Amino acid sequence: MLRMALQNLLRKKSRTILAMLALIIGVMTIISLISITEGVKGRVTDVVSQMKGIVVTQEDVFMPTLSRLETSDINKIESIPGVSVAAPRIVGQIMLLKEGEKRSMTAQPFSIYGLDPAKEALTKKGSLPTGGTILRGRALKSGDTKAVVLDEDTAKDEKKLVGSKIELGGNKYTVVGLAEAVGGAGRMAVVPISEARDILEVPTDKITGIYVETNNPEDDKKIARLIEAKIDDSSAQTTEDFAQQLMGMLSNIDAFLWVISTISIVVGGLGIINTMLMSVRERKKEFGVLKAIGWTQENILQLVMYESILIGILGGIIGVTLGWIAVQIAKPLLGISIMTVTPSLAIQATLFAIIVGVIGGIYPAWETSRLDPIKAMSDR
Amino acid sequence: MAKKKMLEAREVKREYIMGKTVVRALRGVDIDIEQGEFVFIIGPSGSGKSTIMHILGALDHQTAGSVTLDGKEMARMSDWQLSMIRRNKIGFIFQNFNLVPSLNAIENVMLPLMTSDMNKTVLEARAIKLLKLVGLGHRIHHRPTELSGGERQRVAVARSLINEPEIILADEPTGELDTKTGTGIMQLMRKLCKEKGTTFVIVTHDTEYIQKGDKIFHIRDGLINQEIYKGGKVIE
Ligand SMILES: Nc1ncnc2c1ncn2[C@@H]1O[C@H](COP(=O)(O)OP(=O)(O)OP(=O)(O)O)[C@@H](O)[C@H]1O
Ligand SMILES: [Mg+2]
Repeated sequence: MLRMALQNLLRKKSRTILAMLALIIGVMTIISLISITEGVKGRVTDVVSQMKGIVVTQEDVFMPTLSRLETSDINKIESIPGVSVAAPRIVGQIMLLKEGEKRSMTAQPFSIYGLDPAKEALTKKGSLPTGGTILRGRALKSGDTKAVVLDEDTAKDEKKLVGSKIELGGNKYTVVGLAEAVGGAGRMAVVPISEARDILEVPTDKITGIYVETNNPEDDKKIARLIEAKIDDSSAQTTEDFAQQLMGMLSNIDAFLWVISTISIVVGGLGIINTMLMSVRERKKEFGVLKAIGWTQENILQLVMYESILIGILGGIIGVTLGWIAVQIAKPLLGISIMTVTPSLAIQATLFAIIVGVIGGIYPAWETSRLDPIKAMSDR
Repeated sequence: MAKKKMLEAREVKREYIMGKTVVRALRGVDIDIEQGEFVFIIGPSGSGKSTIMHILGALDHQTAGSVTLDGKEMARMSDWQLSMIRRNKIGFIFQNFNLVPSLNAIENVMLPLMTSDMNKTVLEARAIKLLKLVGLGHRIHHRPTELSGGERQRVAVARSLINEPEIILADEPTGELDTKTGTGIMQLMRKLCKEKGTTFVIVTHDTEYIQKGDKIFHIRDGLINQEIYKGGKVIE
């Protein structure tokens, strides 16, 4: 009977695909959205777990790279009791150009982190701005000039090894270390702060931010408020503040996913009901014959349910596959490498499609099983 | 030959209510069919031939009277029991063949027992045997659209035989076939009746298919015209 159901579906391929279409789109959307948000979530938790201190920037700036603080603010913060270290930052973005190029359409934005190696070494999170470890070579140290630490992904893309040269903002830099590509901005170059000032053209008395650690992380919130009070137009964010903001955002995304999923169930289910009804009504005569030659109501119910469930299974598999492809395409575009379609997500989505198939089949199957064989057979 | 009574219809009436009018398709029909008989039901168009066939074949219910199969009243049976009777005891042959277009010849023949728990290979072997019997051993994997009218009807005959029924009901089986093909089908059914002892009830317009010894019921306006088959000869 399963084979017969499959043959029935193959007989009208275009309609079968039509029946699956809404389901395929639904599954595909769910698969890609969930993978992407899971990826983003994973990355966010990564970042949050790596950041331990307080990040001070100018208040109400659109992007952290536009923020400007006074270099002297560092001393003001370090004079606050409980602060263990205040490290200056100059952060910005440039386009990474190929050798000899003046501009490029394909260049990706690339973060420059300028920091003071001596100060950075005093922090608990280690020598890198985003945490994580050095994989090859070494971290920056004080006294370094024209030295850079790249993340491993960038190094791979640009074919750089420890000791290679790379051009940033018109100057050549020697790669001294490769960093683990965790969270944060992904593609980045870490350079001494004076170099970043050069590349990003930030005046000597200005910096873009200050990274602060305290003796006792429990005091972070209190100290953040003290910093804001002490430095005009500043905003001091603790890891906790940051995490809360992000989690708030993510829970909105989750709610949005629920809405999308619900819509897909309804639309996919309606799509199946609609096409299945069309299909069984067209074959009324055939079902009448089946009934006449000894099929029971249950047999016919089963046949139609099989067809509908097969649509669910096929739609699910195709949807998962297309979703997976969409994720593979989105991955380099969004620059998030950790997002994947996990086997459990794929299985769940397929199960979901099968359930939609079951639900969509119930009414057409019920209607068909109740057919009066004589009326059905005389149907023209 | 001591004949066993199979089907017995008594005072069978069938009325259709169409809005305010009542269509009286059968107005009190008595029919007896015994095992191994070759029975014809003849009569003008609209006289109720198909209607009585459906009722005899457990496909439709009479509105009054009784129909018993092997002594059991069919009106008292559930939909499931009636399906089982159609599956196990009755075979149907229709005027327009009624094959399932997506299935090939052998699958169509197996169809009535596809849902039973019968072993697939046994069923397949039986279907092939029947297709050979009806002379279609070389068309086993053809779909209905790839067969001629006569071949399709022979597939339908093979299908009606798959459950080794006690009785086969054929409503104008030759209606859409030319005389030569029709005669072939009719001869095939006679052969089956003789060799397997299968009972046949056949509705036809063509009285030339009727032979001596056949039982004939002539229906007119929903009533059996008794005199017509006196001595097994059609007097009209
Ligand atoms: N579903 C129905 N509703 C109303 N009237 C019906 C219905 N089915 C049959 N009839 C009527 O019952 C009468 C008998 O119909 P039936 O189909 O049994 O005739 P028939 O003898 O088989 O005719 P034919 O030789 O044309 O096939 C006809 O008058 C027909 O119009
Ligand atoms: Mg008729």
